[in-house]
Formats: sequence, structure tokens, C-alpha cells
Amino acid sequence: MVPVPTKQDRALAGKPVTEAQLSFLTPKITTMEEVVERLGNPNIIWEDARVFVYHWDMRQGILFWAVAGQTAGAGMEDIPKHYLLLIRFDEQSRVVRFTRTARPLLQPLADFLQQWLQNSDDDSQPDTPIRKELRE
Amino acid sequence: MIRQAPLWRRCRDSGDDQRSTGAVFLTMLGILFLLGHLFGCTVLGKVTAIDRAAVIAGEKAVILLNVQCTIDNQPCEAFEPAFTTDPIILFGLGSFETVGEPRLTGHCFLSEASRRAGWTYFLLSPGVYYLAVIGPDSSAITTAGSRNSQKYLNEAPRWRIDVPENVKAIYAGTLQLAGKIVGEYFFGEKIVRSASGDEATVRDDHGLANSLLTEHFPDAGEVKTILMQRWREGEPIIIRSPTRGSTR
Repeated sequence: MVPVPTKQDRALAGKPVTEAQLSFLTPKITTMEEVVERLGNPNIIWEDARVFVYHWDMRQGILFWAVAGQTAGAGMEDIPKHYLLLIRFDEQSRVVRFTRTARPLLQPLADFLQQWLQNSDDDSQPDTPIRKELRE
Repeated sequence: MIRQAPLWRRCRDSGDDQRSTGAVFLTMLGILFLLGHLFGCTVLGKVTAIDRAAVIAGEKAVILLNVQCTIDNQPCEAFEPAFTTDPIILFGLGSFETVGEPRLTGHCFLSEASRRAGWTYFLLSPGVYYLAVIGPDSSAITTAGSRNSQKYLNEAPRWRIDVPENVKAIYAGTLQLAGKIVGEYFFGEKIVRSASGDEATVRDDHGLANSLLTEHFPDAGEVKTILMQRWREGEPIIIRSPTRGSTR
């Protein structure tokens, strides 16, 4: 197997969100409606945590593979990079925190989301029950 | 009262005994594969004491679902006993842990009569779930065991099931599925494929569901009807954090 890195210029899944598109996001000001208006419906709504998740995959490389022997064969697979935009809202549906990030290839999405919420450094908000629970 | 659906066998030729050893072996292999996925399921008949205790304690809710199936407009049993024939309906279930992406899952029956009438149930902790339905399809088991099984599950019609806190018994609706015979295998078994596609509908039979759940889960209290909602590609996946210590 030979991985060959490529430029991340091809979306494999989802609709990419650029850093420039996030310039309108201002904590405590931007509303949930504005977010939907500008970015469209999120891919995931984490209801009780009040988090919107947008996700998309970019190609970061190509894996060439070959197998010898009776079941001989060869081929190539795209290597994705999982990007996420996470936006957290307060009880008044205003943005509290947002992060555009990449998820490790092998980390399950649910684990990543829980970890992100747990590591949330927003001190201005009172703890939600779910954050307390995750910390315990 | 439980409606009895005519036997699926009506849709078949009487050539079952002509199966070759190879075909029987493949069938058994398929069934063993399926059983490997049927974790946490009572498979047939009796509701276990563990199931009942989990419901009474409020850790899990019993989610009752009915599947009415027709093949070429003739009613057929959606669920035949696992050891007599390959299943034509399989389920995938997505949860918080999979962020809605369905994984192959087992389903359980309250009794022999209810199974024949198309009733099945799941025991689920409070949360939002996504039920993917493969079938009616005579090769559902092969599909589920194939390398691309996750792709098939992801592309299967999906419904959202909402399990709120403090509800012990939920009726999620009656799913009406249609199939068609598209050919015949070498040994006479009919090849069935789904005819409904995205057109599968959900009907409300809460009266029947209520009497069935009251009979089998008398301690579960009031049965709440929360019909499952069709989810389509492109719509947001809604997830809810699992309650502490809960597992599906």
C-alpha cells in the first residue's frame, strides 16, 4: 500500500465551509436563524447540547494498493480528511462558541463531539446538565 | 385482537424439499451470520425478566412496531421464524453513538401470534433513533452479510424514532411495505425485491398496539403513540445525549 498525499481541493462528501464564511459569527450576537440563513441547515443537531454540526470530507491523499497471490488485485482509494464546523448556542439561541476543525481519521464522531463539549472553555455560560454529567 | 396475516408460504412454490445440500448450507450460514448480530434480543416468544425489569425501572422503553407486508399485492408475513427461512425484512438502528448512522440490529417478538401478525419490538433507552428498513427482499440476509452492507443500510429508507424520558411503552406505528416477485431461483424460491422504495407509509393502529403492550408489559403504564417520522437524505440528523449509564 502506498499513500500519496494530494492537495485538499476536492470534496468527497458534504459541502465545505471556509474560514471566510465564518466571519459573520459573533458570540452572544449571532442568532441560530442567522446561522441557518447563511450556512443552511446543519448536518447534525445535538438537541440537548444546543450544538449545530456541519461536516464535510476533503480528499487529502490517494491510497494505492495491490494484493499478490490467488486473490490478486490492485486499486486505489481516496483518503478523506473529516472536517467539522461546530457551533454552540445558549438558551437564547445565540452563538456561544464555534470551531472549525478536523476530526482524527479513526475517532468516532460521537466521541469527538462529546470531547469537544467537555473541553469547551466557555466560562461565561452556566453549566448545562449534560456538561456536568460528562465531566463526572 | 391480533390480525393474522396469511402465510408467506403462499407466495412460494412447494419445492422447499428440493433444496440442495449447498443451498441449505448457505441458508444456515446466513442465519448464523444474522444471529451473530442479534445481540440483546429475545428472538422469539417470551419477554425476559431482564427486559421487564429494565422497562419497569425506566431505564428502557419498549418500542412496539408493526410491519405489514405485501408481495405482488398479496399479504405476506413480514417475520418468519428465523430457523425456517431467510428473513425478508432486516433492520438497522442509528443512535447517538453512531450519530444516526444505522447499524444492523436484531428485533424481538412478544409472542408467536404477535410475530405472525407483524408485531416486533425494540428495547431502547431514552434518545433519538433512526430505523433503517431493508426489504422486503429475499436476499436481505446476503445483503446484510456483504462487504457493502453499511452502504445498503445507509441507502435504506429511514425513520426517526423519538424515545422521551419517563415513557415506558411506545407504539411507533405500522409500517406498510410492498414487494414484488421479480424472478425465481434455481430451486424454485421466489426472488423478492422491494416495490415500495420511498413510498413506504406509516399507519396508526394504536388500539391494537395498546392491547398488545398492556397484555405483555402490564407494568409499563400508559402506552404512548409516537409515530416514527420519515427521515430523508439531506435533512439534519437530530441526536440527544444518552442518559447516564444507559446502553441501547
